[in-house]
Amino acid sequence: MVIGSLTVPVSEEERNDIIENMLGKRFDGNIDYGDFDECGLINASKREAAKEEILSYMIQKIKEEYHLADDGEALLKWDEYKTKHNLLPGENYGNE
Amino acid sequence: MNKLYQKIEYCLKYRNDIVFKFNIDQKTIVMVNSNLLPISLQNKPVSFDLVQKFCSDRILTLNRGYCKEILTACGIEDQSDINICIMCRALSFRDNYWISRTNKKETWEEFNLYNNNFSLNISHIALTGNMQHADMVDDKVFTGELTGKGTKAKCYYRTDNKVVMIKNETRAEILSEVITYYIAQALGIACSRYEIRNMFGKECSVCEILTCDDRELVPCRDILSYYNTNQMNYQGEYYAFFMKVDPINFIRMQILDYVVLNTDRNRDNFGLLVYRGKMLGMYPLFDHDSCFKGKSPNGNYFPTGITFSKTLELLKTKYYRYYSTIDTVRFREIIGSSTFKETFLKCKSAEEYDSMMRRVNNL
Repeated sequence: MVIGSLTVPVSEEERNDIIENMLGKRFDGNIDYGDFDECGLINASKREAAKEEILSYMIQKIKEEYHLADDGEALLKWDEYKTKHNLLPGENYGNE
Repeated sequence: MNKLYQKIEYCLKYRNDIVFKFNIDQKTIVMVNSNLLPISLQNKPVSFDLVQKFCSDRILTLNRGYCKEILTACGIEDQSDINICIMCRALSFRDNYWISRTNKKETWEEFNLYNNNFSLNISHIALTGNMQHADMVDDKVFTGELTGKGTKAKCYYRTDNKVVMIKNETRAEILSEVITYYIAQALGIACSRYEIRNMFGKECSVCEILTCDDRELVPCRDILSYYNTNQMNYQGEYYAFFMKVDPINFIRMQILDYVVLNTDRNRDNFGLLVYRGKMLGMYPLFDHDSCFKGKSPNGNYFPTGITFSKTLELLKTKYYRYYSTIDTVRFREIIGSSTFKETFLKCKSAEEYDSMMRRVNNL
């Protein structure tokens, strides 16, 4: 079979209709900012900030418990601290 | 090891129509309807090699994230390409081809991944590598994870009655996926929309799967196979074919890739849209995690085999007839607008914006 025989000439309009049905929007050179998922971006940066805050908090706790002055030393004690306080990695199944 | 499956007769089907029957033990193939052959298998002598090629092109690659875990979870011991395909019936989220036992009355309606539930446990393993629920995987392997392409850990998931692809990527890669969709909109080329989500405890990009019973994807890989080559270059028959089928959108894709410096437009990352059995034109663009990676326009662009800059020159000269119909002035206005810049800067840096604008001004 010749590959060209599988192609069908369609007008830009017909093709755009099929694409619109597929993607729920027309790609006509205009940007639809309405579907920009700012919420997802904000959540992502909040998660990042939360990670930083939790890390700082845990370093502080370890420093207090082992009477340490240095953050690096506190991180070296992390595994020991985790075992001592039975801190197991959390599971987060499903959507956020 | 039980290799009973090798003695059974199987068939490649397009929906419910048999394309060919084959026997692995005897390495035989009987063509039933050559008009229904996948494009990648056309233009070739009829031999058992067609079975081998179909299966090899179909399955996941060994360098895919958590490949070993997926195969283990699916209980696949014989990891030959053909066996992997038989185990998952070669079902995919790409097209309507699948493998079935010849003597069984199995129908497309009963097995296609679009309308039937697939294993979420395998999906979970495919994304996370976490084998905790591996023993809950059913004996019957029902998943699209064995026929997906790419190297990153990812999975298919059903949510709100839609199938989505979840891909574990870095924050920068996800944001490239997110913003490229808007640049594609400005250029007037269809593109998949990506969102950033926290799934199974990992930061991921999420996009909807656009294929369905009516709509299939023929990746560029298959067009290359038709022409019996692996090489993409602007002088090749494959390039001429895309230019014939959908010149404007093929050119738009290359312009977009120049603007965002997409370094991974490989043969699995673009293709043609088949609607109810007929090729209509370019499939909506997808997979833009390798854009804005700080590469130079003098780097190699896969589809043409020459640099990004030379590709642009090629389009402006040899394909001027089509290139001139694309409204690059308006595109420049939109990308240069304060509204777009504000959106862009939520995803990327000011330096990346300035660098992109320099390329936009070259159009």
